[in-house]
Amino acid sequence: MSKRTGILTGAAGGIGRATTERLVKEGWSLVLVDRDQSIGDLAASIKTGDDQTVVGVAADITDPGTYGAIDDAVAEIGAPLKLLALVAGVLQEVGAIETLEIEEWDRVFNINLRANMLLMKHFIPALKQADGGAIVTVSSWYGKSGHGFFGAYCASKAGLISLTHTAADELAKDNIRVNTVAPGNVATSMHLDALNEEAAKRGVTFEEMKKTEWDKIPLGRAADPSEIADAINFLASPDSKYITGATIDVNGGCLFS
Amino acid sequence: MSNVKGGAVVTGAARGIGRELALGLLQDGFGVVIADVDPEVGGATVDELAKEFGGNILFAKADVTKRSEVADAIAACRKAFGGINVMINNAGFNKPEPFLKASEDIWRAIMDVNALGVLIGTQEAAKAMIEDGTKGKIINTASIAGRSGFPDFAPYSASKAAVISLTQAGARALAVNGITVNAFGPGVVDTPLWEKLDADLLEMGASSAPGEAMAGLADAILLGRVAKPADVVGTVRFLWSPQSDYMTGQVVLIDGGMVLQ
Repeated sequence: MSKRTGILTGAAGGIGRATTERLVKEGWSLVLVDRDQSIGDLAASIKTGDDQTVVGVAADITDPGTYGAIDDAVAEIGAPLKLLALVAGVLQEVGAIETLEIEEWDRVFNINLRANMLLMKHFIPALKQADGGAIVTVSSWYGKSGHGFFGAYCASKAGLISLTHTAADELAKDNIRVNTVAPGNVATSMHLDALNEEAAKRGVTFEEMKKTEWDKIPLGRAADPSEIADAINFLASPDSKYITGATIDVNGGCLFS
Repeated sequence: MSNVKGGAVVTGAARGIGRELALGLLQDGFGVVIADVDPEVGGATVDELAKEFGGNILFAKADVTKRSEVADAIAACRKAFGGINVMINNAGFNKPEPFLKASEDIWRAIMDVNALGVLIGTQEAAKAMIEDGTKGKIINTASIAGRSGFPDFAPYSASKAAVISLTQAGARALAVNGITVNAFGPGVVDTPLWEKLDADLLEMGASSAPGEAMAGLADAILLGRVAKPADVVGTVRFLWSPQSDYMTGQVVLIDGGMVLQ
């Protein structure tokens, strides 16, 4: 297959790293984006094939002023942009709506929703220029159902699913497919930190909190990040060429929707 | 025993989507039993696929509403291929009627094949998988009509909603055995089912020329075309592969952008 470029946000996180590995295996050249400065070193450490390039860009996705560096990296790779994998996201500080600081609400919405709109807006022209491609967002089962103490997170992910549908509608004529992967619990540091925090909030131990959460999952465990990466890869691949505006629910059965 | 990586049964695989899925499974190295109510077309399909895949493809006559025939098809798979790893409950049909004229006979016939057939297929496959200790994958053919009711397809829509419910119930029941149950929901696919539907809708007066009903639906598809059976295979391959091991009880829509859920 000829050389093709993808942009991956949140590339230094658990799902981001697994997705990098999966996409590189499929022959993609990648621009790895993360606000963490170590992303350059991470990109340099990735083993690639002969005709593949992986470049790291430290950027704040909430600030379009930083997107120029991503453009430069795409130009440096020199292959058409065929994939926008929007993995970056944050959890909120766990707490009731009654006490939710608006600054926290804004922080979560800025990263989980507003930045993804800005990234789509900025990179859609390049995808069109490449005669189409795929946009894959990473939402959450929390975007399909409400959960106490996660008001900002749930609403931001619900918004992201809606944004995915709208983009699918607008871009189908340009041969750009837009879909979302909705993970359940994934065994990343983000999930384990959240369990810790919620355990403290509820006055129980980490193990008790983990058991409470994982017992709700029919398959009885959290996902490995690679299992989310597999679904992202599927939506980026020709195997899903007739799918747009869809959600792939990789949640171990914790929510049927 | 032939040299295969596992056994698979696909119901309603004589033609259309089922046949394409059987081909995909064969290409992935599975031994496949085509379980179909129509021995004539089913036999011809097996003969054709056998040219490339030899003994890795078999036919079993099975009416999915008859438990013993479904059980026999699964037994044939275990005997020939050493077990059953993948069960695709795909058999189904549609017969349009205007909503106010939807009849009991058609309701019962459609619910029997499309819904009860999935229950029986899931039960019989799961029993065999549990007995063999196989962490198998059961995949059901749902439809966008199971997500959104269509006025001329009331029983069909209800039957496909039932398929989604059975997928969820099966997923909860069988997770403890390591068996996953998922569904895929095609939109409008260029298959014999849709050719027949197009003709039936013309006869009903719901359209005024051959191909018109299908083309009208295509206008509502974001990607601007109806699907080919081959468009469905990539998704179902994802569902039978280890890549979807953390998915159960889910429905993946392959509709080119119709319902956006």
